[in-house]
Amino acid sequence: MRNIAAILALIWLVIGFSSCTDQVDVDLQDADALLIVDAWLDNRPQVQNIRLSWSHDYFNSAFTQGLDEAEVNLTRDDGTVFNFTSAGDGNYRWGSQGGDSLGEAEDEFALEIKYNGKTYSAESRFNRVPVIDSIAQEYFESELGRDDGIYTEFFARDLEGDGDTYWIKAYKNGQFLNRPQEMNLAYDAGFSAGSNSDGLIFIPPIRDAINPQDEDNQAWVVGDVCLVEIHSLNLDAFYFMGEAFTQMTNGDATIFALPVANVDGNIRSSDEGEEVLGMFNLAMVSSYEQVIDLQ
Amino acid sequence: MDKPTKYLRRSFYMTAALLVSMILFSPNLSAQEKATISGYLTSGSDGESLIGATVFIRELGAGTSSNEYGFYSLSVPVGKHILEYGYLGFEPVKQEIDLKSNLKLDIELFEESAVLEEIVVKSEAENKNVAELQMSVEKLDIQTIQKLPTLLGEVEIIRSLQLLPGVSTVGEGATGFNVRGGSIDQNLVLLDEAPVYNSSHLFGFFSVFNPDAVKDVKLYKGGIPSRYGGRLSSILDVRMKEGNSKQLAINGGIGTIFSRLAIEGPLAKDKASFIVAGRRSYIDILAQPFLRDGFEDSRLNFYDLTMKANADINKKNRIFLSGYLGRDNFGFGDAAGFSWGNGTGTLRWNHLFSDKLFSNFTVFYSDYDYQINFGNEAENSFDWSAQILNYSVKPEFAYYLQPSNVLRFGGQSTIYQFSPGDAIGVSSGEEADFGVPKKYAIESAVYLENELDIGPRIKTNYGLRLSHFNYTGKGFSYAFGDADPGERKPLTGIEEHDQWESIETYLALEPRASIKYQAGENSSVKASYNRTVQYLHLVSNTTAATPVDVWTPSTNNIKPQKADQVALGYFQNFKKNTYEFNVETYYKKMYNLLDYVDGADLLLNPFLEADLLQGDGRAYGLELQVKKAKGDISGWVSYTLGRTERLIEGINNDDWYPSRFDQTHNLTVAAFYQINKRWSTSGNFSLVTGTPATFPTSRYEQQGYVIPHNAYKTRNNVRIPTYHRLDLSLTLDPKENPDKRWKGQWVLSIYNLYARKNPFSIYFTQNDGRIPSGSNVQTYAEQLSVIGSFIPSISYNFKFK
Repeated sequence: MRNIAAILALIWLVIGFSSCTDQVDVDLQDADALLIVDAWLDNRPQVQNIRLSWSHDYFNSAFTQGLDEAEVNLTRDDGTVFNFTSAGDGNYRWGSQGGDSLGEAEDEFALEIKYNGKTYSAESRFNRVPVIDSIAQEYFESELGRDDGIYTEFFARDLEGDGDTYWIKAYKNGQFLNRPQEMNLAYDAGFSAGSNSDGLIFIPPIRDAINPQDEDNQAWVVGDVCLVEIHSLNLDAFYFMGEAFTQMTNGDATIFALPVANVDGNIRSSDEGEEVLGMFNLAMVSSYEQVIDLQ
Repeated sequence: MDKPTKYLRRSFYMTAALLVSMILFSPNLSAQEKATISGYLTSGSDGESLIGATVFIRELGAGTSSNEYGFYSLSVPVGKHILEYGYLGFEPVKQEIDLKSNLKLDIELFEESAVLEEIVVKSEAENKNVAELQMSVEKLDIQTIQKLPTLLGEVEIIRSLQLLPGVSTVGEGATGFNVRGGSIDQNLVLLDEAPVYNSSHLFGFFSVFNPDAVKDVKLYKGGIPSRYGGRLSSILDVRMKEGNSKQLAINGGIGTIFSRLAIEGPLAKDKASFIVAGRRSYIDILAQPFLRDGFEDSRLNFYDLTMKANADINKKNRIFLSGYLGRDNFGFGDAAGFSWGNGTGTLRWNHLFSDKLFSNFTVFYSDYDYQINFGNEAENSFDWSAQILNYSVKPEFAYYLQPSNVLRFGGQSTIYQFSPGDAIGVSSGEEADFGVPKKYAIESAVYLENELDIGPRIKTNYGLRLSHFNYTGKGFSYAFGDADPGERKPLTGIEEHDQWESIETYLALEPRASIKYQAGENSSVKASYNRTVQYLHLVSNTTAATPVDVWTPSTNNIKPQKADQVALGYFQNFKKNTYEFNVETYYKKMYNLLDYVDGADLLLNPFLEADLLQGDGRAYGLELQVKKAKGDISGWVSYTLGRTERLIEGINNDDWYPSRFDQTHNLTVAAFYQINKRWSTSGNFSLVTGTPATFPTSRYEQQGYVIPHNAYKTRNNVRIPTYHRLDLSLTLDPKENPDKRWKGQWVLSIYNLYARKNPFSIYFTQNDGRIPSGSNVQTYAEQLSVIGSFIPSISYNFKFK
């Protein structure tokens, strides 16, 4: 129920007398670079990209350094091998627009990366994904701190059976709504395991989390294109992104911040002592597009 | 023999051994004929009972002090005696008696006339800190609390306690307080015997205690007597006023945040009285013009109502009925609402079985609950509430065998009902139950405590508390498999249980002992040991606890918390008790403290126990206090050198780490200056080591997001900058005129005088605005200051008699 933290923080800020934040300089410990695997693939017939890179100092705002000298391949449970070829800056690619798909629901895959005499591996499978029925548009008066204007929500029903997890991605005029605060994850039709929301229409806070959360511009205007995609997740990827969300937005929780923690990935090294970061997830994707036309 | 049985058997042997020694050590009842003087000590001006007032017979060197209800009992040889009654700030009373048989003597004491020197920092007897057996106890007079500078002009009990050695907080605005390295749920906060589960209004800015209705505040940090139990680290015993039994009186005040009004008076003169005290905030009313679009219909207020009535039925029986009701309300139009609050009700009956045997029977209920709702249409809504409700009976007996020996015994039994979350969501007209099943438990305890003086120099108090916890149905119990340390445990089974079917039980023996050695007339050495056991846990993993945190019982998966504490202290007074010097050192070992797996899901999660970790804690420190109790200038300096750490498997590489509220140095200076008869001023200064924080070392990218990473997997490995703050206040008292029925007082306060932006936390964050995909993300550190400026305030208090 991470919305609660946001609401508590909001109330706290309203009453927060003279609270303030200031950017400060602090010294951080040095650390060795760790191998990062960024392997979020899907079943769409388009280029599939895996990026390998090295972590760097927290205050270094440059892109991470790519790793181009590895061998990367994927093996499907029927034995088919997909070789990913280096495309520079740590990127490894397979497939083409309109070409083949990696597989279908319930196919299981093993990822194998060979570098410097070591093997890095992980497993994932294509989980099912529900279809999106519609995107609704409605005009709202200003409330809860957001301006008046047109807001959208998507409608889809979680698939019957406990434990489906999803990442709902929204795009405004082709641009992915990528602020950490906009990350929209679902466990069945609700937020988390044990919430008994199996088989329901996604609950309202998930449905309407497809609106942009810019400070000054949250509403849509006529002519905007709203695209929503549901990506199915493996359970480890769901927890990974949930924890990443918490850590990236922890400052918003003011005095109710959670402990700072590392985000656990699913990549193993053949060298047991070596830590590797990142995630391998396979997603089935459904999508729906709506042009804003509410007069 | 299995382990629990062994432990039980050992416990009973120890109990038996202690009982035998109690009887053996009790001084021989001498052949000389004795009689008992007993009665109640009250204030002559308003009839309030005096807690801790002294009765002394100089030629016998025998004395006692009044209990929480003002009762005293003293058994001495028959004959002529001079009794001396004393209470600090009150005129002493001498009474000559010719004692032939048991004697009832109720005494009224009157406040010293204002001509005498002003005493601000007071305790009941001038040398009480040295002479009394009890160590590790902090007592703040409501008059002292009222003199301290305030935040926004509101007299604050819990904030005042934080100026005392060994008491700290995780930061400004955080709810609760930490005692000797314990977490906030390890404090048993009692309001007229009933526990208060959330002692804060407005998160942590104000406490639920209305100063107009509070008579006495006592905090036990260690050496906790056997009669108290249920929490690990401290007992905060707040006693409400009984109400003026002489005449009708009205108190009130108008402040920046809220206004207060208290009415008290006799129901039957000198026999029965009442007090009703209320407060309501008006931030929402004041803020209305400034609320921006969408916030116009905001509700933002809190109130509380404190009530008490008491009646002397006859010489042997007295009853008290008290209650508290308070609530914080937040709402945004009808789109969302959020409220929380406590309710308590206590019925007490004091009964004298004899002049020597005092008893009190308490029945109470206490409730904490919150309610949240979203959505203003029937099609889409979410209603969520949670509650902890308990009913308890508590018989207590004090047997005043002789001046040097008091035997206390009693018990308590409490029924708990936990509603961790009742939640109904309606999504497009489909209703879904997101609720978590209720839980039930029964906690019981019996205790025996012997207060015994061995010769003129040694005082002891030793006893045992036997506590039992029964986690019962109706409900479900869960079984979990093994997981790597620090990871969520997999669910392996669910079992359903009938109402009151026992799911898990725990039994614990809690020995307690204190000893005082009077080294000289003005100095003493004290030592104490206590074991405490706690069966309830506040499940909270945010820096400051939130009002939605849920209390959970010990279960088949959550073990009770346990602590052993030893403390040693030296107490010395100088210059006729003008200066008090106290030093104490303590070591506390704690077991089964709660922590959480990363990404723990603590709300509306029936499988919560899978996300909990348990481990050890330790806290140790040195507390120093120098107090100047008399004169135009009075006040104290207190300093704590402390450390509190946790060891939880799966966190910090399985090594000890400092807890989030660990403070190495904590220095407080509080000073009061009486400028003249009407004007007085006070100030306090705090200097505290920055609390620990966890900083990342590195960052990496996943799908365009930048994620922080701490390569060393440490927790709380760095300190945020030092905290310091100065507050001042100026008070104008009314003219001394006994004929005037209305007395008004002005208080001017400045909080954080030099406007320091003290850090609450340092966190790590990314670009505020939107970054086009493909561009780099800036990461930086930000400091959060809860109070970013100085805060002046003015308030007006009045009394009408």
